[in-house]
Amino acid sequence: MRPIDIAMESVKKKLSELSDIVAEISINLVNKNWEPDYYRFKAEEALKLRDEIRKMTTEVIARFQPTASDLSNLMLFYETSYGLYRFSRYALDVARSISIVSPQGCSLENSWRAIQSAITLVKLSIRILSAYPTIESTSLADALSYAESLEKDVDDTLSTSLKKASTVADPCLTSDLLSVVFLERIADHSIYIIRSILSNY
Amino acid sequence: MDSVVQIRDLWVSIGGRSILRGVNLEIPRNVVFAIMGPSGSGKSTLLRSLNRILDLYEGVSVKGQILIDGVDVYNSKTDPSEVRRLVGMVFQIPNPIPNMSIYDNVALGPRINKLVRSRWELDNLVKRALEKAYLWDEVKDRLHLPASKLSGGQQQRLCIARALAMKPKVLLMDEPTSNLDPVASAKIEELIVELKRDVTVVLVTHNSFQASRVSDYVAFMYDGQILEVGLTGQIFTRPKNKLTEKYITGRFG
Amino acid sequence: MKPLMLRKIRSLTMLALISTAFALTLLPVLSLIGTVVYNGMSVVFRNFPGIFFDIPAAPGSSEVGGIGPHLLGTMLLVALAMAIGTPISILAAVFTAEAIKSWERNLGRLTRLLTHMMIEFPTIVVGLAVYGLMTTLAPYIRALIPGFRPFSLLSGVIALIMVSAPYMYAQVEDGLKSIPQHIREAVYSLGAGRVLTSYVLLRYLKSTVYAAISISLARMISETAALFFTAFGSNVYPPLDSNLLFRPVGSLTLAVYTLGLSGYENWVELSWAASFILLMLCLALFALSKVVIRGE
Repeated sequence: MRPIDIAMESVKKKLSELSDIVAEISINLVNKNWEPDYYRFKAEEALKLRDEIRKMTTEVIARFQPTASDLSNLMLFYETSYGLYRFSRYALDVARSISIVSPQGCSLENSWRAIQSAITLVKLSIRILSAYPTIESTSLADALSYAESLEKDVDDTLSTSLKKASTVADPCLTSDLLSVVFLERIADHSIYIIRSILSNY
Repeated sequence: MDSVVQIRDLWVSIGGRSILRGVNLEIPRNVVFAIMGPSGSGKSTLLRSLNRILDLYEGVSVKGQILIDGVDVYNSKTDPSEVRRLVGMVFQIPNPIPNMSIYDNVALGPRINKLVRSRWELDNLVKRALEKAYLWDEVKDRLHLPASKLSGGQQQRLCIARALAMKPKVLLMDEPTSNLDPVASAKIEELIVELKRDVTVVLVTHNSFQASRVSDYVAFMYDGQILEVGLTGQIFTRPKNKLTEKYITGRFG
Repeated sequence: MKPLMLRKIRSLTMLALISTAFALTLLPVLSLIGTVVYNGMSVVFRNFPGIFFDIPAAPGSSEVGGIGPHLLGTMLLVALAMAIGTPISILAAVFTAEAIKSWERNLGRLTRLLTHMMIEFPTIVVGLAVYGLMTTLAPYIRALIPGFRPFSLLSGVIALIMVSAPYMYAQVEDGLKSIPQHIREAVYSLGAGRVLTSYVLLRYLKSTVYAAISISLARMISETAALFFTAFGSNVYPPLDSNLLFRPVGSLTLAVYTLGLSGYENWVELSWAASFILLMLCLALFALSKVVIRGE
């Protein structure tokens, strides 16, 4: 292996550690764990990993002068790490906004719908990331269209939630809207990850 | 840190001119340690003082202490040949003995030092050395061909095998890829990174990019002194010394 | 005239000049070989194979006899001179080229200076000097070896060594000096001591050493003037006993001179035969050295 390959392997490893944290957070959201302290703790771990990836990327560029595919891969890992970190922060925001009203017994049906779609999209994006670069571009294109449908779903949920919250002043609806907003951000970051991977082909 | 090489306050002058001025350095075990710097900074002299090849030059005076694996290199009781068995060397211009066969070139060190007793042992030693130098597959069917028939990159790997056959603790490399084409150089860089499992590699290069690619630690030399030394990642992202920064970014040298 | 025409004429003229020069150079060589072969070969076949073993026939007789003693003399002189001179010159060259300490370097420089001077000495002067030395030392040597005489195989051997060893020294020393420093460093870095390194470097220079040896050999075989006052020459076989070293011997070259200058026709023919054999020996050595070098 070239020296740069050894370094890129360590970056990829850190990235998959970050993906594992994202996967763990996703499971908790789907299992309706709204405890903010848990998400805060996980977000700090994610931040640490993101910082390490940033340091490693700088070092790889300084030491190995990557070009062409090495450089695009490195930049992909770097940008993806940001998206994955942001997911952990938004997950914290979702948990916070839901945990405040959950004792009041709100229905939070929009949040719940958005969570389903967004988390499916997140899981799809980290699966594609771990399969990179061995995944075929045709299956990737299929995945992208599925991802777009999930994203559209979250967008529609956001519109619905907006309409509802703009007509009635209800703490449940407000909190519902807030978490859907954050979930939309999550979906946006995830689909950006998939699009960046596709653009490397 | 377990250091295999310790250099303490080394002053070297050749023909009255002071080349090394108070060099202090510790080289850890089983790493690739690069020494980079502009021409004339004393890198080659430092390297040659480690295995006492400096003795061959006229008018050399050496002050200070060098310990290699605990052996005091410049002690008057130490036999220079002893030191040279601990330390192998690879040069800028690949230099196998041309009219000797590939096998005989690798076997030269063990034969000179009577390291093995039987032909079978020697065959094994030669094979292992060539395997470690990533050359075995290319020459296994033509071991008795003269070494001059190999390409430049192959000859350099042969020289590495020749040094490795002595099972040294430290391998000194003086700009080993300066005279090779990029493909051959890349192969040797990959090899160097593998070698650190068995030996400590001390690599001198004026090419800071090569130092950044293959080394774990790097020292920057200027005008006979070590200006900065540390982990390669550290030095190449946040060097402390201004001159180091200038050299790495190509602003002089 | 057009420039193109001018250029053509100029190049044709140069070609003609070079061809003429080549022919002029080739002509003497061919005529030399031709004359010697023509005159010598017939004599050799007149008394074949006796020409190699018999002594010269009585002067003025119709027989030629042979140049056996002279052939043996050449072989003895050259064999002994090579056996003693080669190691001395090679070792001296190694010492000079591999000197490190300052006293070694100074001694080496002195050796080199003196040896290069010796190469330029006229060989007849060398021969005379050896004779003078031997004569002066004769009384002392006779105390140890009663049969010693200044005109002897021993003196001849010494003279031959003094004539050709400096040349071998110079060749080997130049060869060693031309080895790049990094090759020397490479051999040292493998843990070789100074002696072993010198040995490895000599092996590296195999073809130079062989060439030096074969040229020395050819020169010794062809040496004449140095032998006048030392080996002296003889038309009979030297005694093949303990006195062998201390009696005069002939050589092929001395045979050519002494037999050729005599007035006797049969002896003159023997001198042609000796010339022929000498020439053949030198050509054979030349061919052998080429084969050895190609085999490297």
